[in-house]
Amino acid sequence: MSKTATKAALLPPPFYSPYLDDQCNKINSKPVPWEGYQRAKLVSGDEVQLLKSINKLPQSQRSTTFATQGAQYASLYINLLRKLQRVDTVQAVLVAINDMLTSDPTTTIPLFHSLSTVEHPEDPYGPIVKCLSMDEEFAILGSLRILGVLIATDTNPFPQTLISPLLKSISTLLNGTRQPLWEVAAQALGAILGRKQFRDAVWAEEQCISGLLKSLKTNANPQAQYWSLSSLWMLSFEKEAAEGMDRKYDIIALLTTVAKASVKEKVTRMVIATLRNLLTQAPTQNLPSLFVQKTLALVSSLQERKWSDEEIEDDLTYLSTELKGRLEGLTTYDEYLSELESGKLVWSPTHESEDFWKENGARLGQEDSGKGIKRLVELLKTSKDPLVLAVAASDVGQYVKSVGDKAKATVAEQGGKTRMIELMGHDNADVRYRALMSVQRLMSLHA
Amino acid sequence: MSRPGALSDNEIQGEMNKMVAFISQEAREKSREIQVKADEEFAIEKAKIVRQESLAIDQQFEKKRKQAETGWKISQSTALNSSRLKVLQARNDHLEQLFEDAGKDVKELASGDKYAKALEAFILEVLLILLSPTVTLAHRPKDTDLIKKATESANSSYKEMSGRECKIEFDASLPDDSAGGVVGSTLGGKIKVDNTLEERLKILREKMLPELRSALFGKDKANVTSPSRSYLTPEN
Repeated sequence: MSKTATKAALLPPPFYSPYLDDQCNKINSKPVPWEGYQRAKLVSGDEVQLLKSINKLPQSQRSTTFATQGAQYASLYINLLRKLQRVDTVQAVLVAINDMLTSDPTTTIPLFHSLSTVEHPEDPYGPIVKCLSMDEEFAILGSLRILGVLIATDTNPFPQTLISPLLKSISTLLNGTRQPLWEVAAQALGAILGRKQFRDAVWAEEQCISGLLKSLKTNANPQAQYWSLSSLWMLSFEKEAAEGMDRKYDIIALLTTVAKASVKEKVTRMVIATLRNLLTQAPTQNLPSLFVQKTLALVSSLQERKWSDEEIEDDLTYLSTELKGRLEGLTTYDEYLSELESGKLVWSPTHESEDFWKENGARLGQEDSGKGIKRLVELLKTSKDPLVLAVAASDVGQYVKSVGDKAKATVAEQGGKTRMIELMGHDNADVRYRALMSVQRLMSLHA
Repeated sequence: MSRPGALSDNEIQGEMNKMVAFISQEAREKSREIQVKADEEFAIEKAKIVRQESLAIDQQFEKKRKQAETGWKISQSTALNSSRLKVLQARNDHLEQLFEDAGKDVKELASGDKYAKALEAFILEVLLILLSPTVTLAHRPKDTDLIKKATESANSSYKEMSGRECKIEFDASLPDDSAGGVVGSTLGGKIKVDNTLEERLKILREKMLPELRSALFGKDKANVTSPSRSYLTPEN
């Protein structure tokens, strides 16, 4: 890779935690008795020498040292992390690394990236990840921040075995109660999700995602929302995640709520960008929800506002055009089948369209050995969602109306008739109504 | 100069710093978003190009492979052909050698004990073929006595078989180094029957060639196309 290309990748993601900075300052003000540790043979004389010479200089003047001896210091810090266990030493080294990385990111970050050797192929990450298992708050937080910066900017693949401990550590904090810790974890997650390698792993790590969603639902703070949303947005670039996110986590509903309530542009920006990805990467899976959440209406109303950001306008236009276009498609039989498949029945135009039922009613019972009608009856029996029940009941009625007597037999065979009668006593009024209408059709002597 | 509610210089500085930090934070967040998007587009584009190029490489490779295959086929065919030719050549040479040796051996026949009887048979043959009242027999000078004797018995057999008589004249005109036998002629030399040993050998050669081939080289329809040549095995 050419030098210029590497430089471009070197934009470390922003990190904001006054809490953590505060702790760093506190640690810096407590000097570590390195000579003492040298006598105890925990560190070597050379190492102490390096440590002392850097500590003598104020922060602003350290970059010259790093320019000449940077590699040595990088190696020093990682080696120290590898062998030291004592909390105060680990804290001090972590702070030192952070200071080094912030003082001159362009030069110092690559120094850490190139620390991997035959003897220690997982460097620099191995020793840092080790700190995550320490029972001390700063060790964890400090490491996460450093890992975020290094991973986001590294072009080499991250050692596969270290991914799990890292994600577990993040997800613990995301599901915890302390806000400052949540914030560090969320930002670290956002940093590593920039790398494709992590997206698959995070998608599999359900606790991480649910931690983010919990915060979105409960914490109205825009900055926290932004951090959760960025991670979700980056995940949505991956096809698998885009396909499953809504089904698993009902994310489109959540996103729409957030967007409606949002006052900060960047929050809305993230929501819209995520929705766009969901639509692009996995249209079939996400269209039903997009429809029921009335996303098109939301998009239209958002388009009326003035935005200072080009990209959000771009995304809104895209969403608007795509959704409108798809609405036509939503009356076709295949879309109907996929809606059935997803189990999320909604009052899309299809269900009420006379033409649709005239054309396709029979297919429901005939194609694929009646898979369609089977699924419909199954939903009728198993779904707990009143909306789904209402739509399913109505659909069964439509089916019987279009096909005739034979359909009545099919439905009765599958236990649909019994269930329909049951549903006439359901809590939800709409369900009762639809069930009643369909029972009429099922019972009547004329089609 | 401080009014109540006004900020001191330090506080103003502090506020400004906060605002700068805020703006910088927002900017960095946005630039991160841009970078993530750019990375995605890059990845997609790269994948597309890689796919295109590897398809192109596959096609090129296929073309080269076909060319190599054709080239190989051609050279295989050429090699096969030239080896066939060699085989044919070798066979021919062998046959030539055979006949050459036979020609030499034939010359020994004349000194064998069957020669006299053979001469008799040759002369009879000649007479029966010519069916002429007068025949001149050309022979080797050294055979003169043998010929006279043979002619007597041959001529009486001739008379028995055909009921005709023949007046025979002799002519010691064949070269002495010929293998032997006779050349009968009549009508002043206009009709000749060459019954010399060389001539008989020649006839034998022509007539027996197919059988010879088969005996020597095995039954393969005398066509050098089958790769499973069995002439090398001693079963024949």
